Amino acid sequence: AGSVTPQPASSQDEGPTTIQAGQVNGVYGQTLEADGQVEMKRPGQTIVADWLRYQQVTEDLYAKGHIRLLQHGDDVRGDELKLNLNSRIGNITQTEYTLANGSARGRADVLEFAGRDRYRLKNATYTSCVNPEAGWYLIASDLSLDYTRNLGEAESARLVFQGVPLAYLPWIDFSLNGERKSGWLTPSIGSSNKGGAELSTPYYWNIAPNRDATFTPRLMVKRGLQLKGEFRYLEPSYAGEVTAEWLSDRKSDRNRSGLKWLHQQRFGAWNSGVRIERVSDDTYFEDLGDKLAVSSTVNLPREAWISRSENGLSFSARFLKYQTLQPNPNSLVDTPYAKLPQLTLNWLKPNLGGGNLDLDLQSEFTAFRHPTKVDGTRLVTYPSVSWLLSSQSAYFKPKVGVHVTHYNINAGNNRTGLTSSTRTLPILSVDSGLFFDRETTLGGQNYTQTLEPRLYYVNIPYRDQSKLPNFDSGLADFSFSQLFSENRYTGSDRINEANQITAAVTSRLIDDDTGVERLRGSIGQRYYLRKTQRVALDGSTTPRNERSSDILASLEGQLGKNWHLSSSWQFNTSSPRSQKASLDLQYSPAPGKVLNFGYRMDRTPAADKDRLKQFDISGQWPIAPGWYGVARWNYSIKDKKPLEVLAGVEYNAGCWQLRMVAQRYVTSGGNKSTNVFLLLQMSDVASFGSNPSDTLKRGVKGYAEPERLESANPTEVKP
Amino acid sequence: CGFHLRGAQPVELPFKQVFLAKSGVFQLDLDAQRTLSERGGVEVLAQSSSDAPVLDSLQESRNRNLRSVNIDGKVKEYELQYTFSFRLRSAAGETLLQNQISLVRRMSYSDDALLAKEQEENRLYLDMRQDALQQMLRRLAHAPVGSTPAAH
Amino acid sequence: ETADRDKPINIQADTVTLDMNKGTRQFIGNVLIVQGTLRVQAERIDVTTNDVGDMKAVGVGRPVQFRQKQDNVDEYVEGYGDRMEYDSAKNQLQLLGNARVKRGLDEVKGASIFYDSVTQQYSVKGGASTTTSPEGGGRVTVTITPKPRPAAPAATPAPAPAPQ
Repeated sequence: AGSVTPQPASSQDEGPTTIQAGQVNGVYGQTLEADGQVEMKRPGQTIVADWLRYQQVTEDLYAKGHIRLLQHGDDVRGDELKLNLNSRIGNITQTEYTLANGSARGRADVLEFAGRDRYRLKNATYTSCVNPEAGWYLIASDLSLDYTRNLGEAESARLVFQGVPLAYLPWIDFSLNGERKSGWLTPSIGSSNKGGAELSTPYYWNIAPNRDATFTPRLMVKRGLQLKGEFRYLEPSYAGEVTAEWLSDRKSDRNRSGLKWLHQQRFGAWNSGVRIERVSDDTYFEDLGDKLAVSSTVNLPREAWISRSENGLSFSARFLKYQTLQPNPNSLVDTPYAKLPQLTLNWLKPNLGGGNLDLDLQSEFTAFRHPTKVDGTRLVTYPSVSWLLSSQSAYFKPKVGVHVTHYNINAGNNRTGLTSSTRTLPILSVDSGLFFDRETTLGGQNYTQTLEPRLYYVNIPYRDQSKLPNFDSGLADFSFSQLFSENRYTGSDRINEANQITAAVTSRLIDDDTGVERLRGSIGQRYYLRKTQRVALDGSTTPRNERSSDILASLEGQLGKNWHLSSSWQFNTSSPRSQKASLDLQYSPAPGKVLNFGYRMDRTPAADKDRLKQFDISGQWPIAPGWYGVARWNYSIKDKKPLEVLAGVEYNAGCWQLRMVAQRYVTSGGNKSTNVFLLLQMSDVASFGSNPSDTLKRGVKGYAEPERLESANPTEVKP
Repeated sequence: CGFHLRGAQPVELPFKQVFLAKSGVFQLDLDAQRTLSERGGVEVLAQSSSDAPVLDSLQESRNRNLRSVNIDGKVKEYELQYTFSFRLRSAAGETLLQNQISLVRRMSYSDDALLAKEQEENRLYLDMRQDALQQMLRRLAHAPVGSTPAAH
Repeated sequence: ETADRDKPINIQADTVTLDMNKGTRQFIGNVLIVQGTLRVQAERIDVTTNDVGDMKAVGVGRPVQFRQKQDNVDEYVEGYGDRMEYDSAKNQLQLLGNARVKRGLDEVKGASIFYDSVTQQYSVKGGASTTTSPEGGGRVTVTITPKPRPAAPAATPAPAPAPQ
């Protein structure tokens, strides 16, 4: 063909247009009129009509009668169509449309094509349900769908659910692909016995890609209007979020506020950060918090820190103070010491002199402050040298160190009258282990089974520490991690004397194809070569004479394809009985089908109310096509009372979900808090009620939200 | 009963050298490097070389979930979740193995011993890191390094 | 081209018969008419000419083939059909039965096609489905390709015809 002059407004879809009809009249290269079941096909577009006229040069199309327009993902029927095939600008009247591959459908008096992937509709209905009558649809006088920004906007809209008008919304905008965008988020309705019925209508403001804010007015029947604001920011060198809440509480007629500020910043090689949480009164979370995890928070940190670490040398400075809430006057919480400041300097020099000799220096200076207990400063330096001899089948690691602690103790609240003291303790430990393997097959799968015996010796002389203050020491849980550490106490104020050997053996089943550890069992015990132990947390020096520690055993991993087990057991040999036990069994053959059985028992805490003996049974199971039941029963056998009961039914109809969940959990002083979650979700257009997802994910391990599971009518297009 | 010292049947890593791309967390990089050299028996290179595979995008994350409360509604037990992910790429840059290992430890809790529990929590996370690195070694032993990258 | 009318008409055929009173000549067997850029091939064509040189031709063939160059555009129009009627004065072509007209990359198919090469107007009808065009089944197919905007409008009709 001859040279083709560049086409001024060439349509992207090059290629021929074919028209089939009963009759065609036209002027070559100019216009064309087709009549009688006309079918016009061009790359990316198909137009069917009774009659159409097409201007070839300007690519304007005018069609009438039983029109059907198919173009990349859109299937639109109507009476009369005006459309420029190149710019895709035009409109169609009395239309029935399905857009974006079925994710949006409905009817409209006029559907205007406002360019590629942008539509404006007059007197339109909009839904994502294949069968709107059984699901929901939006009627709006003016509806705009912009798939380039994934934003839908409707004016004077009515939301109709199963034929029942649910809400009249003068203006609503919604996301077309689930991503958050500025504007009113869907209101949430809930109720709790602390605040009564409540309605919150969050407004999300997407200020910039790296900054956004959410304002949530929360109207509580019993307490009044709480204003909550959250602002998040993310810059190259710093990021953070600020949350502030304010309420003038009718029920206890005082102003109640909460503040939370998290901030992290980097200056060159320095890292720094601030974490401030503050509330106005002790029962703030009890009354206003709506989640169990929140209402059980008692210590609120106020912390600022700065740190730097460079090839082995790491320094940090930290100011830390806690606001301690006392929600229950007759069971007071002990306020933790404030660290004003805490300076740490650690230095790790591995492979000293080319060999595998490690030099490790841990040092810390802390000034402790407490409202009622003795204040003072503590300087700890703990240099140690360890030498690792290892191959793939064995390792031997002796370690020698000196733990030096110097106290300066103020006079106030000082019951021992000790003003300064220094404690120097040499610490020797030897860690050693062997690795055995063998091939085995179990249930048709080949495994490598390992057998890993381990011996750990610690020797620390006795120093009387009964007069020393206890700023931050506590008894660590008796666990495999604690079995192989030098000191049974955490913190630096109490170093137990030791001349003990810990022996343990671990066996693992390793999958031969992928190397994944399928199952692991361990058992271990510690033997005290020195009969008496005298270092205790409080001032007592009455010796305890134990020959050996409790026996610790654990078994954890996959049992077959659908079962998972996690169990641990601590057996007290002197008064032969179980000291602590935990069993978690999960059966989950498929998403949406999970059953958990849990049992926990712990006799270790001194105070009876801190001891545990409870069941934790939970699960999610399909009960009918599209219907899923979810429940949790956390029952305390000791107190013969449930700690948390949760029950719910959730329905996924494909384009909408209904979720009904009730929850009742214990709060301080034996009171109970009940929450009811009722949520009607219509894909991304609207959702009414409060969302139980967080509560369910925390309460039921393996829970999956209904919209991600099999829907009632699988033909429904997933929005 | 069929067990024999692993030395006799060592965990054979399919490569003799590996370049470890630093994650920025000094202690994590050091522990990873020592696990590879001491337990895995491979040489860890300081900079990338033309024929040694690359172990990169080492990432760890910590998450604390409420597990048990007592009759008073007070937290009595937390579940500490540690997730470690890594990627092994061939010298040519093709991803051979990308994996995630998540481990869980339980820790009793009492508001009265807040500072002590904070340090115990940190110690448990470090314990899980060592565990995850060992498991990474086992999985690296099955990484398809043998086949030439083109064959993939 | 409209200029063809001033060109000599050359008609070949196996046999020719003359019908004086109608002034028509009947060419039968491998008939070929050439006039300037115009070429028509058919089995039988009845040609009537008037004193001014205008020509009307009615041809039948399997199919009749018609070919003519368009004015000042390097493009040919090709026409096919069971039966053809051509009027050189009006530059109008009528094709009936399996009619097909091709111009450049564009093509028109149907039961009957009317084409005026001066105004470049065409009209295609599907008509009743004839046994000979089962594929069309009464339908018309038009294929057009995106065109660059043409430089000049259609040429104006040429003046008086050239003598025989």
